[in-house]
Amino acid sequence: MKRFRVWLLCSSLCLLLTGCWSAQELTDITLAKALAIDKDGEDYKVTIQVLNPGEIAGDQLSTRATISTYSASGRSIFEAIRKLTKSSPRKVHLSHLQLVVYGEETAKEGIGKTLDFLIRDHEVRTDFTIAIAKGLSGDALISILTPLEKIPADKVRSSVESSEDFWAPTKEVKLDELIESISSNGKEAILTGVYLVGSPDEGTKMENTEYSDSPAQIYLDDIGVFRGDKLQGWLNEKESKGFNYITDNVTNTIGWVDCNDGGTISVEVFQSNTNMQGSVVNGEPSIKIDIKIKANIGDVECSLDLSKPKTIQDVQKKLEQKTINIAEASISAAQEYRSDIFGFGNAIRRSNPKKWEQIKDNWNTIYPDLNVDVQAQVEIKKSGMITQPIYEKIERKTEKEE
Amino acid sequence: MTEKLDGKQFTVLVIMNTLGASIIFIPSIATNYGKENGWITLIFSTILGVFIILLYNQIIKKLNGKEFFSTIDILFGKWLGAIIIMLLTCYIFINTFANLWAISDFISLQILMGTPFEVISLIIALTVLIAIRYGIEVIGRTAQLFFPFTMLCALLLTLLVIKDADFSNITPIFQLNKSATIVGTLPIVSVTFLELVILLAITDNVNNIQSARKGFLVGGFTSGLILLVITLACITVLGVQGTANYAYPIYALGQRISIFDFVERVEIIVAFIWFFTIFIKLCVSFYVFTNGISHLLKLKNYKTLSVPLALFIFLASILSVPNTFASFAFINGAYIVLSVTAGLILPLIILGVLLIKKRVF
Amino acid sequence: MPNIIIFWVISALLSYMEIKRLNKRKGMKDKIIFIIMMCLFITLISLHYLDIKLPYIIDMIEFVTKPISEPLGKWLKNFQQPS
Repeated sequence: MKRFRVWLLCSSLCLLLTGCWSAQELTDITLAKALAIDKDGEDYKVTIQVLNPGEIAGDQLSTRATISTYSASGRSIFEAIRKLTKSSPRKVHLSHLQLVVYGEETAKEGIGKTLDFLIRDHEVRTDFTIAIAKGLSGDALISILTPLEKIPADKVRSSVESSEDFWAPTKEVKLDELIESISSNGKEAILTGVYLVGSPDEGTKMENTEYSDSPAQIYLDDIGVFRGDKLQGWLNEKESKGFNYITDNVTNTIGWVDCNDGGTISVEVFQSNTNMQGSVVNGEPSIKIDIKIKANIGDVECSLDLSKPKTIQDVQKKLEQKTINIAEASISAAQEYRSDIFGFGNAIRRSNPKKWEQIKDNWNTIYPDLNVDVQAQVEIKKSGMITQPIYEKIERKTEKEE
Repeated sequence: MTEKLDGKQFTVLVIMNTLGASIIFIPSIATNYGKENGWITLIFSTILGVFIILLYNQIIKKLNGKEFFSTIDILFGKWLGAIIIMLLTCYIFINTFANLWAISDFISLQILMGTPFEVISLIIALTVLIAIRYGIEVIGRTAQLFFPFTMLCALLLTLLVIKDADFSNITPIFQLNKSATIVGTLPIVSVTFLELVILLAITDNVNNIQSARKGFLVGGFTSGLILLVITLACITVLGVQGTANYAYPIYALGQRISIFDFVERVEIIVAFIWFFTIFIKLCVSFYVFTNGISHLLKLKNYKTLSVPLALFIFLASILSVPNTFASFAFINGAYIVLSVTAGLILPLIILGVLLIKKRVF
Repeated sequence: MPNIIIFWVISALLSYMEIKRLNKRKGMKDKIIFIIMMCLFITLISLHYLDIKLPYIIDMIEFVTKPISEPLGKWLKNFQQPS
């Protein structure tokens, strides 16, 4: 009797432990890596980029494409995604989503309505990168096959990350940040632009990955400026860099200035700290930005005597002036779009909450004429592996031979 | 043979009971009221909580190790005593099924998608049933055993997201929304510290009155501190809007953990915090609930009623709320009334009568 | 329908175990109360599974506490932030 009871208990426990209540086998689902959202009249057109697992990790790789794309339209994003099952052979699984791309036209019409699904759905994790396909629709962009990285979504995502870290004019925006800046007043949203060089049709073929210099390549550049949930325009490369300087988002980048004799000197910025301080002077809000940069000399293409402290000081001065110019260009571009992407409103709210309560409703009219004072401090630390420029010696030799 | 808890176990029970359920809702409620000052609301709540615990400690002192429910009977007489116990039991019942609903809803929404709510709820209810049949001593020891894991998970959660923290999210500090920041303490205290009234019924099981009082205070203060840190982490990492938007902000916080793009998707450690705390909380409140009902029906052993009452809380959790939105309205309205009645007004009355009828003891 | 059968099996098992325990000791009262309660809740849960709408408990609580909770809820609403 006792043995029977133990047996009964164990077998009933086994029922609980199987863990296959809503099991989805890998053969029944497709993993979506990227999602593109476009407007199709009233409807949303959703395109997903899914993996062909056999082409990525199979024993024998054929020449079939590593990814496939499927599209469907629906009144809401949710409906469109479920409609994908009409064309996709299996259920779409969104938890491995790496990239969400909006078509430029869609972004101009507003992306606000599309965000709710992305944050509400339990299957979608919120750690994907969001970008805008500059000058084309989102579905065209995610259909491009890329060399090196087998999965195009991974390629875009890793280039966004690495270019933010080493080049600076882009910024990786995640969902939380986007929603925070779209919904709060005192800061507007931005998204990185992704664009295509070459013909979109070429890019969808597997041959695209067989060239060493692919005919269709995905580039990242420029920052899209939003007001509310609508794309207003783009900051160019210089202005985008200025944006990252102002928002203290530069980890590593290159800057160059002209020398007196026509060559250039480049420095590698390895540390940049920005302090943004809002204040109210005589009832007028104003912003003070203080950029502190530490840099190493990376490339000298002119004759300079770097051993003189005076030369270094001159270079520092020039770099400071250039940084200020970049930042101011960025600010005036954003002011033209009437979009407070730097969070100046928040800065004033932090420093003077009472004043902010008064002006927050008129912020849109105050912001374009806001007085912003930018200051920069550049410190040059190291000279690299050599001290004096090679260029000087080469030039001397060339002169002699002539 | 009566069961005994020691001071340490009681402290752990206090912490588990304060954190259970509330830890996952609090950041959202606090930011909903105080916005970037949500964490200041938690400071006020902790201060208020300490005063509430001091009130409970006075009762513990006056009870002097006597059984809570039978003392109420002696103090208020047969009928009035029964009514007071009934009110308290009702509150504990609401607490029990609300917690059961909360954990089952969370699991069916976030972890075991597709598993029906009823299955999860029934399994938890039966587990709790098994636990309380072993008695409060075993619950206390289990809590003590789980406690380090829980704290480790909470510590990991805050440490691993600290690099994403942006302290400009909490500025300006206490400049705007001052009144809302203070008012926010009301719902927060009612889901945390006022629920500790349940623990009054198990203080007679603590072997040393002095250590029980100390444990109550230390436990309450510690859990207030933990809630403060968690809320601060939520606001600085997720931002004000982010914290207020999510139904389960600390789960979203867990999703943000990413170390070198390698240690990722470990948000389940958040669920661990919650499983452990809410399980202990469910056990304690269900234990007190069955004890209260048994006392009302003059049964000698609470175990007799534990089986039907487990079915009852299972039923109640199914029938508790029509949808998630109703639960938020409930927390910000009716539940405050219940908590204040059962957690503040009744203990005050009991303490008052205890002081007057001093000579009876 | 399978739901209710599984539930009945579980509750039968529980009742069987409990009754066996109660039989060991004397005391009619415990047994009677246990059986009454068991019947009550099993009936209620069965009703739920048979798709008969039972009132939500939260609605009952809100009905009882209405005079205080409604103005309180409204008052608190003023302090909640419009997002």
